[in-house]
This record gives sequence, structure tokens and C-alpha cells, in this order.
Amino acid sequence: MKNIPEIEIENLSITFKIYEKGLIQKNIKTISNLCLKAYKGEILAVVGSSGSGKSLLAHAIMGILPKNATVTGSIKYKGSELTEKRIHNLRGKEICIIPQSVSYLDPLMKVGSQVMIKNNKSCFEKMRNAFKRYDLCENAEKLYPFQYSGGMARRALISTVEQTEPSVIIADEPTPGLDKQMAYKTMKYFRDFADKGKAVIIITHDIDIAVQYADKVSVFYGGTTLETTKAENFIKGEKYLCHPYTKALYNALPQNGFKPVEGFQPSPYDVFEGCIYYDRCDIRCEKCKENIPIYNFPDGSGFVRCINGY
Amino acid sequence: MAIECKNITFGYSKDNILFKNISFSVDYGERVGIVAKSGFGKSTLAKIIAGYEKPLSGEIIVDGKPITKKGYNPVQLIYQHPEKAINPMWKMEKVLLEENVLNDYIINSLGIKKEWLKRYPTELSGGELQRFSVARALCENTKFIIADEITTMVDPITQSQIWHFLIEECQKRNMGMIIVTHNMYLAEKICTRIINLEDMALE
Ligand SMILES: Nc1ncnc2c1ncn2[C@@H]1O[C@H](COP(=O)(O)OP(=O)(O)OP(=O)(O)O)[C@@H](O)[C@H]1O
Ligand SMILES: Nc1ncnc2c1ncn2[C@@H]1O[C@H](COP(=O)(O)OP(=O)(O)OP(=O)(O)O)[C@@H](O)[C@H]1O
Ligand code: SF4
Ligand SMILES: [Mg+2]
Ligand SMILES: [Mg+2]
Repeated sequence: MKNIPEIEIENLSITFKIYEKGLIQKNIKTISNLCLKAYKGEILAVVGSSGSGKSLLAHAIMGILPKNATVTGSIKYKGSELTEKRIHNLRGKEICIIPQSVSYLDPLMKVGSQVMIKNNKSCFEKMRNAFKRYDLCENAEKLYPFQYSGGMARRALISTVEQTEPSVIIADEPTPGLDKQMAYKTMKYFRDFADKGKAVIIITHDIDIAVQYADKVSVFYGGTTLETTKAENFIKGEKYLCHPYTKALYNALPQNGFKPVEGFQPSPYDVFEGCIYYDRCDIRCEKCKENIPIYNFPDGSGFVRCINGY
Repeated sequence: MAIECKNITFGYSKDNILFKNISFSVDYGERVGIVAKSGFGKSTLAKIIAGYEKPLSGEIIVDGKPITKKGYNPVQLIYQHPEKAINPMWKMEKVLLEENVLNDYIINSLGIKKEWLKRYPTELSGGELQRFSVARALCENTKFIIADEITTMVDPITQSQIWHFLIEECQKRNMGMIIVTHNMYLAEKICTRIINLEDMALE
């Protein structure tokens, strides 16, 4: 038996209450029946469709969803339920997030001082070390966010996790707009962090870079996980990936053919039975319109949600 | 030559010059990739070419004439971070109406869903929002598009869809494109030519 996951998510669903045209209330389910486990010593990469719920998942763990969102299912940290009160105490200390949007930087504060969580020597040194690692010079500490380039803002956001000693880092797209070298440096930092017995969840579209450092990859589409597999399978090649969507994602990378797929991810308004990837799948059949079972891989490394199994 | 950058020199202050004497031109139908390290000044140059920032010296010539502030800008810039480029107080519908591109063909090709039009920017995912910035650049009068890292926030399939669509539009309307990216694999797939600004600055 493996040890208890640092973060364990079971049957998570997130529903938004939206008011349309006057007072007609609609419930839209953006995440449904999602399961995920992040272990000590491991990097889990979360990849997949834009709008599939990756950031919402991160916000649900951190307890920072908007008020009109309802969460059901379970989120556990070190084996016990992560209640609102508990996350309130752990947020920014034991569990840290690197947000996706650069607008999380306060436009009215100098970047160096807003990265520091407390105004003391130790926080200052941590900030300066992190800035150095990411090629932000001392002068950059004194600039305001509007004076930063896109990549510099991203690097400042990444630096924030070095302020405390968390046991879990959730990084929501830490590498877009970074050059290869800087992206590798960032991933290397997460690798070292995980190797110290911590857990890392990296949400990313830079699949080619992430799989070189991650242990597992979870593939999201339409608010759920279609496959979780070993990261090395993305390096070995398409035939080691099981789900037709995972394969399509692989083949859409510019270096693997740049192949688009017709159609778009379904909207949460569309009521679905059967496979959520049905209308875009090359190998769909009648049976795919029924309930899709989950096949667990025999070695326990992951699962796939497709009637063709593995 | 449709867009000419002539000896562009720029710095946010006079004693801190970012780049000197950048010159190149982009013709209709071309898709020119621009690469250089983070912080070099690619986004700044993009703003200068679109006329939002004045160079210290040098000029931008479009179809033989210096760019002006008057009327619709034929050079449309799609920003690196959509969350900073879209008014947070506006519903998405208004964002598209402002540029007069609430057009079914563009909306459908980019996979923009009708229900998103009623939402505010913070109620969309990063990749969903970026599709709106692409759409709003595609007004009928657009002749040039400057794409500043526009698909770093979307998944590879959506990235491929957006680029296939944009390239087809560019060819159909004979537009020119300037493409800023750090992804060399992507640049090689979508650009007709690639310029490294760091090399140019050394010359
Ligand atoms: N406040 C909200 N109200 C209604 N729907 C929302 C809200 N916030 C997000 N959504 C919807 O939930 C879905 C998931 O959004 P999320 O931001 O988690 O996507 P994502 O997987 O992070 O995508 P990306 O890769 O583009 O960042 C999207 O379709 C989005 O439109
Ligand atoms: N409004 C501003 N005022 C002062 N300095 C600025 C301003 N905007 C950018 N800078 C500085 O100008 C330099 C170039 O910024 P720019 O955003 O053009 O870089 P970039 O090449 O696009 O980088 P990236 O790849 O990180 O997006 C940076 O050093 C940045 O700190
Ligand atoms: S269940 Fe059917 S439609 Fe869905 S991915 Fe598998 S083969 Fe395709
Ligand atoms: Mg996101
Ligand atoms: Mg930039």
C-alpha cells in the first residue's frame, strides 16, 4: 500500500448559480465527478482543455471560489477533510498557490515588497534569492507591475512560493511566456521541492516541458479527468497514451504534427449521457453513448475513462 | 512594403535605452516571427508598431505613410495577457460590439460560446478570454495583426485551431502578421520568416 496522498480529491463537483434575463436562475456544473491524488515526493501535471476546470480545481482546494459556486464531494489534506476553517489556516503557509493571472500582482505596490509576506530580513533574503534565480535584477525589485514585461511578471509570481516552507504547491500555469531555459529552471525548482518529500500540482499547457519533470499526468476535459498516466508515457510516444483525447492533445503539439481537432469542448449547459468526448472522437461507436466505465491500469499507475480501455 | 519599422530606438527613459536602430519590414501575406529573450522589449516594440507608444527616434510607415492616431487602426495588437487588455467592468458582448466584430463566422470559428457573451471577464477561463481578444482584432478593416504570445494560455488543440483559423483569415484577406513567441517549434510551423531581435541589436 502506498502512503496517504497529501491531497486527495474524490467525486468533486462545482456548480455555479447564474441569473439570466431577469430572475431565471440556472445551475451550471463546471466540474463533475473529478478524482485526483497528489503524493509526497511527486509532481502531478494537470493538462487538458481550456475551460475544463483546472483553475477552478485549484481555487476549490485553496477555498477561494466565488460565492455563487457550490462544491460537493471531498477534498482531503493529509488524510482528513480540508474544511473551510482548516484551509483558512493553511493557505499561504502549508498550501501555496501560484495564480494563473498576472493581475494578482497589486498594481500599486512595488513588486519586490509585495512578494515578501512579511517585512523582515529573512523574507527579504528569500525574495532576493528567488529573484536572482529567475534573473530579476535588484532594480526589478523596485519597479511597479506595469513596468514589468510579461515574462518578468510570471517570474515574480513564481518567486512568491519561496517565502514559506509549504508542503504542497499548486502552480496554475507557471511557465507561459517564459523561454525554454527559464521554464526548465522553474520546473527544476519544483522537482527539487518534490524530492524533499513535498507534493506539487502543476497546471500547464506546456506539456512537452512538464512531462520531463513530472511523475504523473492527469488529463482534463469538460470538467472531468479522462486519463491519469505516467509522465514518461508522453515521452515514449502516442501509442503509450490510452484516451483518444490524450492522443489528440499529443498530436496537436507543434513538434508532433500541429494537428487540430474539429469541434469544441461541450458546454456545461449541454446535458450529457455517455462519453463527453463523443462528438470529436474518431473511434466512437454506439456503446459510447452509455455509461463509460473507468479502467484502472493493472500496475496502479493511473486510469482511463473510455470503453476501449487500455 | 506594407509595414516598415525604420531605425526604431526606444527606452522608457532617455538614459535607459532598450533597443537601438531596429529596422525591418513586413509585407502583406507574410507572417513574421519575432524572437528575443524575456525583457528585451518585444511587447514594447509591438506597442510601438501598433502606434500606442512613440519611439525616441525612427518611424513606423504603413503603406508608405506614417501611422496616425485618427480613425480605425489597421494595425491590431493582440496582447500577451488578455486579463489586462479587456475592461473588467464590461460584459463580453460589449467587448466585441465595441470593435464591431459580433459576427457569427468569427465567433463560431474560434469556438466562442453564446453563453459567454453574457459574462464578465473574470467569469471565463484564461483560454476562453484569449479567444475574445483574437476575435476583436479581426474587424473588417484590419490589415495587420501583431500577435504577442497569444496562445500560451490555451491547450495545444485549441492553439492549433486558433492558428489554423488565423492563418486562413490572413490568406483570405491578404493581411500581414507579426508573431511574438518563445516557442520555436510553434514559430517554425506558423511563420514564413523569423527575425531574432537580439542579433539585429548587435549589428
Ligand atoms: N465565475 C464563474 N461563473 C460561471 N462560470 C465560470 C466561472 N468561472 C469559471 N467558469 C467556467 O468554468 C469553466 C472552467 O474554468 P477554469 O478557469 O477552471 O478553466 P481552465 O481549465 O483553468 O482553463 P484555462 O486553461 O483556459 O485556464 C469554464 O468553462 C469557465 O467559463
Ligand atoms: N511601462 C513601462 N515603464 C517602464 N519600464 C517598462 C515598462 N514596460 C516595460 N518596461 C521594461 O521594458 C523592458 C522590456 O519590456 P517588454 O514587455 O517589452 O519585454 P518583452 O520582450 O515583451 O518580454 P517578455 O518576453 O517577458 O514578455 C523590461 O525590462 C521592462 O521592465
Ligand atoms: S468512450 Fe468512445 S467516444 Fe469516448 S473516447 Fe472512448 S471510444 Fe471515443
Ligand atoms: Mg486556468
Ligand atoms: Mg512581452
